[in-house]
Amino acid sequence: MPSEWSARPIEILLVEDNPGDVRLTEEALKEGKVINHLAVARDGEEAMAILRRQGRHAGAVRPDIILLDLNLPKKDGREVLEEIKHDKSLAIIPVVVLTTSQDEQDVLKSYKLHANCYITKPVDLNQFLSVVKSIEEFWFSVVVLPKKEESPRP
Amino acid sequence: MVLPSKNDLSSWFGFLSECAAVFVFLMGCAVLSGWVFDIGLLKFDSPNMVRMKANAAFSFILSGASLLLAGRERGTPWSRRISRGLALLVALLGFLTMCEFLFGWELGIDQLLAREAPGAVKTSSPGRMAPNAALNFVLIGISLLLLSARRGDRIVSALGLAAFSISLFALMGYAYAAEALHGSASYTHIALYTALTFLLLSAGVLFALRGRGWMSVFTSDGPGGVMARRLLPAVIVVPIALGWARLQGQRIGLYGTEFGLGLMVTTSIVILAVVAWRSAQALNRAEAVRKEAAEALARRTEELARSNAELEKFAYVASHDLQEPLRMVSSFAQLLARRFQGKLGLEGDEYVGFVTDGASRMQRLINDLLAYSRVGTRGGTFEPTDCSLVLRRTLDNLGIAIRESGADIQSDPLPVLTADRSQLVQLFQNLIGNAVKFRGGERPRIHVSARRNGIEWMFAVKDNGIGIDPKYFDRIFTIFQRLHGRAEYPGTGIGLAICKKIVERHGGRIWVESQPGKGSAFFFTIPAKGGNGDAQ
Repeated sequence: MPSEWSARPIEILLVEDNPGDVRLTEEALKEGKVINHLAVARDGEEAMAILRRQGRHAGAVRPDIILLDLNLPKKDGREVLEEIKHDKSLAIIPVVVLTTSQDEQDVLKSYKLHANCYITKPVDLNQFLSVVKSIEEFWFSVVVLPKKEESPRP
Repeated sequence: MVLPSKNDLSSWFGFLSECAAVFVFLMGCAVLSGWVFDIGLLKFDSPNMVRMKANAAFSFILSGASLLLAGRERGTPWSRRISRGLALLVALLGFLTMCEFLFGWELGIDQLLAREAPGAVKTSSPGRMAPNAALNFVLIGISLLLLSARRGDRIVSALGLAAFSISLFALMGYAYAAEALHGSASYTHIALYTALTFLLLSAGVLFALRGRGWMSVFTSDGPGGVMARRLLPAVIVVPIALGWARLQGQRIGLYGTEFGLGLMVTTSIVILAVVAWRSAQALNRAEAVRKEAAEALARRTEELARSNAELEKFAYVASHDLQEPLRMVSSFAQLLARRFQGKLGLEGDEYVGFVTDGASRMQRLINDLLAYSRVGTRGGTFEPTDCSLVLRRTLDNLGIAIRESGADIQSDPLPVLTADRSQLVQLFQNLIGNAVKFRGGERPRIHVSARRNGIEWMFAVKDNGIGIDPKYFDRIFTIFQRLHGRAEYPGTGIGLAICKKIVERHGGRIWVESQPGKGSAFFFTIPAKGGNGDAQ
């Protein structure tokens, strides 16, 4: 494990409306070996507010990675993805689409909107745990992420 | 004889034709016997009236018999042959008589059957029929010849109409008492009852077509048929009746030629206009009814299509949205088991086991439901597809199951079809997969074949497996229908339902032939030109 990780926890933004899924992701990350801090947005608007540090989220920390569900209330996950990738300051944050949808159209559209990867949530708990674990391993250990830059507010 | 129902016009026409044939035949018999036994009554003898000649009577007998045989819907080859022979004789007799007129020959046929004393009324040569009668027999003889050979329906129509017109023309002569119409002064005249018999005979020939040839207009169900049936009787009867009435009026001195003509033209215009107007009304009514029916049908079709689409969407959405809560049930049951295994007591562990097992089974059902609904909603495009490649792909996909069971799979050469390739793979995979799965004690032997059957290809997948009781043949193609316990053979019972849906999307049928313990053979058809191509 690179030494810098121990110094600062990985900031993860989970955009997910289902409390059960939030809980499962938390459990999975708890079992992982990377120290992390999980922020949760319950809908698309909240996710954008956190990312742009608007309103009560003024003190929010800029995430290192975003786990994004597609089917969200208020603002759809696809719109959130599009806004992130069109925002110069946010576009460099890797977005992992984590959804139940196996629809080919959803897969294609997500990549067209520059999602960094697309993962279907497995039904089986063990598989789900191992998927979250492999997200963790790949994005936090294997991949080199851009240095954190404090972007000006939009 | 039982009268056929009137809406069955074709058999009604056949019946009319038979009546005409019998009448003509009997008339011929009566007159000929009158000649042979010299019975004046039978010859319709009356002073100053021309008689039907013996040859004509004989020809009527032949024609009537020929028409009766030719007009039959189901004639034997022999009856057809006899009918043709008689018709030929009629045409020949007419032709020879015409030759006598045209070239002044004396063939000795006129007095062959009966002798007529010289100097008979309006008779050029004793016993010789009128020239227009001879011509009529030629026309009718040829038309009967064609009719019995079941050929040239249009020519039969034309000849029949020509004979009908000639007869009508002669008959008009009697109706209007104008000699020139029923015979030329120097030649024999056609007798009144001969003209009438001709009229019936030619009508019989036309009716014998039973709505084929030009007569198809009258039997057609379309508005044209309705109009033809309504207008034609008026068109025939009105001018004849008015012409006769006009002449009568003129003869008794009610009016002169010009006034009479004007009266006749006006009256016929009024009467025909009324008939045409009424026919138009009837047509409009029929059209309105038809339009309403067509609209109702279109509405129903649209409703059906919509409810079908809604149903498929429902299945898709339901199975999609059902996944979410199900994932929660199964995930947390598993988490419970993971974290608290052994702490819940034996019963607790067992219960959690049931929850996870039930959830995973439901998961499979939902996935299958999704796959089933996708056949309709997410079908691919129809393109030329080589079925032998499809089979190879299928066998690749089933590789493990085939190796484990040691199945022997043979195939005949398979055709190239216009079809949805991936659905064909799914179809073959389900059928061959079933053949492997439901194997009996011995090593599975599976044979795939296809043969062209008219416009479609018929495929067969035969195995030596456990077979199916015929009473389940229909049921096995319904969704989630299973014949075995889960412990015996796993599965949700979706495979054949998907097969059926795929085959039907391609415009084909699927069925099974089998006996318990004797293997099964699944058959399905796919149109050679590709299904309805409803790829969305």
